[in-house]
Amino acid sequence: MGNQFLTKVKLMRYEQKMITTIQKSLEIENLSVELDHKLILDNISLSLPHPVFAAIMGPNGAGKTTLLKTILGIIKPTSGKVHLFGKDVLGNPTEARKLVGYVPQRDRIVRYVPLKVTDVVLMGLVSRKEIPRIAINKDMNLSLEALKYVGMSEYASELFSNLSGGQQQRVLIARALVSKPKILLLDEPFNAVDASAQTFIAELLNRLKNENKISVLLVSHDINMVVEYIDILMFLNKKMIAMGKAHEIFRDDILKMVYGEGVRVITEKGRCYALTGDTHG
Amino acid sequence: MVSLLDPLFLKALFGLFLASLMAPIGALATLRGISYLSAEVSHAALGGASLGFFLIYLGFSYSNPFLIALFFSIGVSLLTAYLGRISGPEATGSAIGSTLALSMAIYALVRGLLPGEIKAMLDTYLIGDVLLLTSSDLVQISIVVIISLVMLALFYNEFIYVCFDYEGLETMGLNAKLYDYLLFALLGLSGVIEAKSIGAFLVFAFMIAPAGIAKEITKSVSSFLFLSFLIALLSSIFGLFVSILFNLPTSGVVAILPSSIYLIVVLKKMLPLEKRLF
Repeated sequence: MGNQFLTKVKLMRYEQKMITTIQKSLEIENLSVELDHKLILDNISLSLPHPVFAAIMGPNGAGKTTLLKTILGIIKPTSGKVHLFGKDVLGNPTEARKLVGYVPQRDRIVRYVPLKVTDVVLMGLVSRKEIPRIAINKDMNLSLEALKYVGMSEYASELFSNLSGGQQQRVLIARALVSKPKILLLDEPFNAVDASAQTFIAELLNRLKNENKISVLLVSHDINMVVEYIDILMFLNKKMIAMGKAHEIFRDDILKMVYGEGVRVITEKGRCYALTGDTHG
Repeated sequence: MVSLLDPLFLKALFGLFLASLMAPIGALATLRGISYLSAEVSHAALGGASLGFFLIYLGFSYSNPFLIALFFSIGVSLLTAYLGRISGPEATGSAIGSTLALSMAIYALVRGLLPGEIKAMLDTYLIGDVLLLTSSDLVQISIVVIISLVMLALFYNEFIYVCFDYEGLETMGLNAKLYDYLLFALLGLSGVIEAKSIGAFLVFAFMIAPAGIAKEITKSVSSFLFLSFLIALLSSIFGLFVSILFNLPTSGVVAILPSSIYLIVVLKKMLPLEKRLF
């Protein structure tokens, strides 16, 4: 009896130690954001392990992009804390951003600037240098390496503006990867991208997590193409409505809380898909 | 007629060269989506110069209209950037309209009060005449051009990145806002150069038309900026020769060529491929 108790205590201590040593990629505590006196995010808390493939889903205006920008330290919250790998984003955004690769919504990019594909990827390295920010041979090699990883090396000298939507998205992912981040944040990566490119990007992101141990956090109004890879799914609509494994929270009642009545869940080969009828971008 | 070895001609040639050097900044403004601002800041320079000449008229002999025009032009450019940032593009349009109206109002009011000789000097900022540029003008213009080019060379990548992906740049730890304001300030500098050398009316010919042409035929940012300069330079040299040959107003002739080429390039684009001659 005494031995059993001691074993249990040892086990509990071991578990406690394990819990404290598991690295957290992102921790958010009681985060609220107001923009123009309007509450955009209401008391959000979450904690993600590392590496993780996580997705935040919600309708337009749910605060998804605002949440990403707050994680990046671009938007200052009204209250709350954000930590990336233990680093305080709000206290020292510069340090925290070194750990992040960010892929913005493609429609925020000015595509008529005649930049070549390599120049776009180099931006990920050159912009992190001290003045004068000049690319050297090593930067060029790293850029080509990143392009190779996303399957775009043959387009290195093409104009970015001449590429298809899916190809541009892959180049933007290469730009985010070239600085060797620990976490990749993506804002609506599947917008205006054809089905085959969506599949390619979904597999690429999964590969990044499994092979390169890079955490992936994406926000999207529609995550059907990545639902099979996701470790943690979050439903956001100003508040965190639900968080958990996709098959656990992909339920009619939760989806109705997020999207209202106009949503339907279908099951295909044991997987759940949401038909939101929501378009974006 | 002015001889080709006449100091007037040589000064005009140098003045046009300096004005052409600012064309890449106009091209950058095109990439940033604020090409209209080139014209606005030149008119702001006109308002500033009016105040400078008015001060001279009032007896402040140390007043330097060029310097006042310079600060006025930069100020208006930065104000536009600030208003655009806090209130969005629609408010930027209103801000531009208001500051343009203010600058022109100052010009119109002050011009009415000035005696003929000073009035004529002020009018060179509206419809410039490169043949009237003095050595002192060229020194002032050269200093501003050098400052502008040093800024452009130092922050070349930053300016391009701000134009391409402002939001992305912020996430990479760069102060995108600072570089955006610097770009607007640079545009302010270019505005006063163009107003002084070719006149505020014709600023489109140096700042917008060359960029419009270059954009249609180049495939990289550096060649786009360089070609903008080259088009501005060649058309201005051509314009200067033609104006001297036929005794026509130089600025007008200088402006005709790039504007005409731009229209041809745009019209060509509208034609079906099989009907294009070049």
